[in-house]
Amino acid sequence: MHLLGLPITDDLRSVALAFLILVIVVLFVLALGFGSYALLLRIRHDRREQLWESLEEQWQEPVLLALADPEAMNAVHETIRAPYRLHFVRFCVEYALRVRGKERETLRKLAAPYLPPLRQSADDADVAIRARAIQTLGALGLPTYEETVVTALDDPSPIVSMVAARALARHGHPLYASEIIKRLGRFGGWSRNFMASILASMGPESAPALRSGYANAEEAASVRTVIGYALRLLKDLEAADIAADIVEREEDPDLLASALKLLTVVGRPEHASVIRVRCVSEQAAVRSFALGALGTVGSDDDVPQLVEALEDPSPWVAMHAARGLLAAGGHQRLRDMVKLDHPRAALAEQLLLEDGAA
Amino acid sequence: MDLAWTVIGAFTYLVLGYFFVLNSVYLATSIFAFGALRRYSMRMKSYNLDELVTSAGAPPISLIAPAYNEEATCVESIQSLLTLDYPEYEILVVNDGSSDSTLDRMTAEFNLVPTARMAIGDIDTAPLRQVLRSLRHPNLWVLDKDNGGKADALNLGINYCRTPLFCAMDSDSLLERHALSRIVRPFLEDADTVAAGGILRIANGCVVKQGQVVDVRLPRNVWAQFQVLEYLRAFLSGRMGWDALQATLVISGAFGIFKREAVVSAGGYATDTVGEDMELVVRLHRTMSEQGRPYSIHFVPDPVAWTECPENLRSLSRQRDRWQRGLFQTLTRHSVMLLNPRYGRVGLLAFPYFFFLEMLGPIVESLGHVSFMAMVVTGRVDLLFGAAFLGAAVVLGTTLSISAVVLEELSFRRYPRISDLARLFALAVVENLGYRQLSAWWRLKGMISALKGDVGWGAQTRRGFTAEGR
Repeated sequence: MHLLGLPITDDLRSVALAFLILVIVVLFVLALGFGSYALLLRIRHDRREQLWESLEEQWQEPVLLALADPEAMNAVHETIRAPYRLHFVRFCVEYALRVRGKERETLRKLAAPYLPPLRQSADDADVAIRARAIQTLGALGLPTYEETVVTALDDPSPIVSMVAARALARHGHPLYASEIIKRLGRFGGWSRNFMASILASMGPESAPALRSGYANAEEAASVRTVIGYALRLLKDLEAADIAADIVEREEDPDLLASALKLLTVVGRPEHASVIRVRCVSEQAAVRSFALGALGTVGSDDDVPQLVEALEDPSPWVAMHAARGLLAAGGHQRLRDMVKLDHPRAALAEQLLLEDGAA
Repeated sequence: MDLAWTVIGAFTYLVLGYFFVLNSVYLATSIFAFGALRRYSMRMKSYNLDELVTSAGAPPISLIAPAYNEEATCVESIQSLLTLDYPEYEILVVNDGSSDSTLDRMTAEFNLVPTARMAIGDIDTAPLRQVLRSLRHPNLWVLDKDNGGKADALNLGINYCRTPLFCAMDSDSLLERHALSRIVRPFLEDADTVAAGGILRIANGCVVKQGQVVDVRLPRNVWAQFQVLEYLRAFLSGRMGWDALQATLVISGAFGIFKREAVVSAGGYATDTVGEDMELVVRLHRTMSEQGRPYSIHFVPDPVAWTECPENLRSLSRQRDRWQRGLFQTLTRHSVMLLNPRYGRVGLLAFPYFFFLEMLGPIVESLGHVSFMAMVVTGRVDLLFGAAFLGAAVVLGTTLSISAVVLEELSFRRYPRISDLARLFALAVVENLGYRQLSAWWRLKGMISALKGDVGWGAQTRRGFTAEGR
């Protein structure tokens, strides 16, 4: 007796065959199970969609009326049946993320009676449930649930802490800025520009707290770098002296880059001297941003240095120098380069075209 | 003679072992994918990604789309790129010396005029002829160059890219409006991310208007239908599972986003392989590990690029032949990574899987088919056992495919009709009765071509997207 080319006893053959048949049956049942599950998922999802659509339709008009006239809020509550309270909260969150000021306050009041169960969810073992609860409380429950949301900044899950930071930033209270800045080190894995945008989204009221963190030499360079980018987004004029101080004293290239970029936006002529020193840095990135900043805050005397930097071996440095030159009003120099077929003529022409000054 | 049959018999058991290991890996990645997709869906509900990206600091991105004889699809594709919902991006279409009217069509449609632009990088490429910019869309540029192949065109695009991230794509793919804001997520969440890939879906049969898929339908063509199921399996079960294991080894050339600096320091795309997309990802793993730099490479399951797949056996066979050759070229070039703990999970898990099961698999499978048939003909196989084994293989293949459909239902539900679901189930059964065997044969041919040193791409024909569905 052969099974697959090799001899085999009858007993072994029977065992192998029985095993194979068992495998087929199990797999068949599994395939049927998967198929039924997929169908069930589809049906359940379609029903949920229908329910959600009908609820939205039911709430849309009274909520819009309440947003226009807060007196009409009671009429909204009458339309919310007990099983759909959390659905209503979700409905309000979607609106709340798109509006500010009085309208958000109205939504907050509308949702307030239905938020207490979410306070418990914020301590749930499941990360997704915690994150969703914090998102909701952050959108509709501040400042009532302030403590819960601030505590979530220390949540072991980076997603929950980020959701909390986003919620606090969206609310924009200056006190929250300090809470987030204190924990910026926790968000080290996130992109710097992204974190800076979150901080900047809190508005100019957060600038004093940001400045204080930026000036603090004890703070990690990575944290100060993020703060520098946030201050640049806020175009915070008062941060210029701190940035100049960083350019003068610090050596971390990322921190230097953030300070030089900040000076490009808010620097003053008196900062040019510290910037000039960095224009000959060995690091191309630092050189680039220094030349860009010099173009904005420097004087006519700096134009030759910018022109010279156009021939820098790094095309990035040359590009920043050309931009600096444009900012310093050196359009004619760039036009001359195009005419004289300078090695960087293409760059000059490109920037003039982009500037609309060709 | 008896010894020969004993060897053949033993080989058949080896094939059984291969079959067992391969399907165990498929099962394992499906299970990991299940958990990962569930977590992903919950996470997406936990925070509003679009709001996050559009209101916060979304990094600027350059889309690099190489085009070679794409007159049928280039206008629709560029239109889809122009309508993307992302704060800051520019489009660099690289016309790779097309011999048809690709450039003329783009020039007429988008009002392109010659302009100046300086190259930032210096990766060697075929010469640039001219730079054109759209007067109608200031963020649309066309880099017209001599023909040098897709990798060469991408390298030229990288040379002209001045944003920290670039998105490599096919000019015949359609990106969904939110695709960029979704695929950029790993770069926001993890500063060490150097690359991320999105999902590819089949556009055949779908209704396309102004560069956007407006009605998702299964294609009518049976070969395209099989590929829909194949793509679901490959992306939702396979790539999602490998991503959960933090061992993503493939990012599709049709839609992937990369940190420019990391790619440049790895030397750009390799121009001497037909699998330049996989080769780049493997080289990134290798370079970053060897340099001791922290990095991560991700697969993101919901940013979608819609692509037109081959609808006839000839084109399909050429495509699979090319994919297999690309796989062979990449894995043999970086064979130092095989089972090498220096490369972490990639060296110990993903690389061996692709090497032994995906690359050598077609040889083992094909020889297995031959030896099995020889034993059936000579009466050396217990027919009942043989039939039961084939039955188990079919049911297992069906189960794995249906599990991919379940993953789709759990997450994105792109095929809205119940009838589509029913057709996908039917395809999961039918594909085991010929299509999979054909696929193994094409891959074997690809292995043979690779061993012969064939590096050609083979002609590709495009029918173009349609407003009626097909």
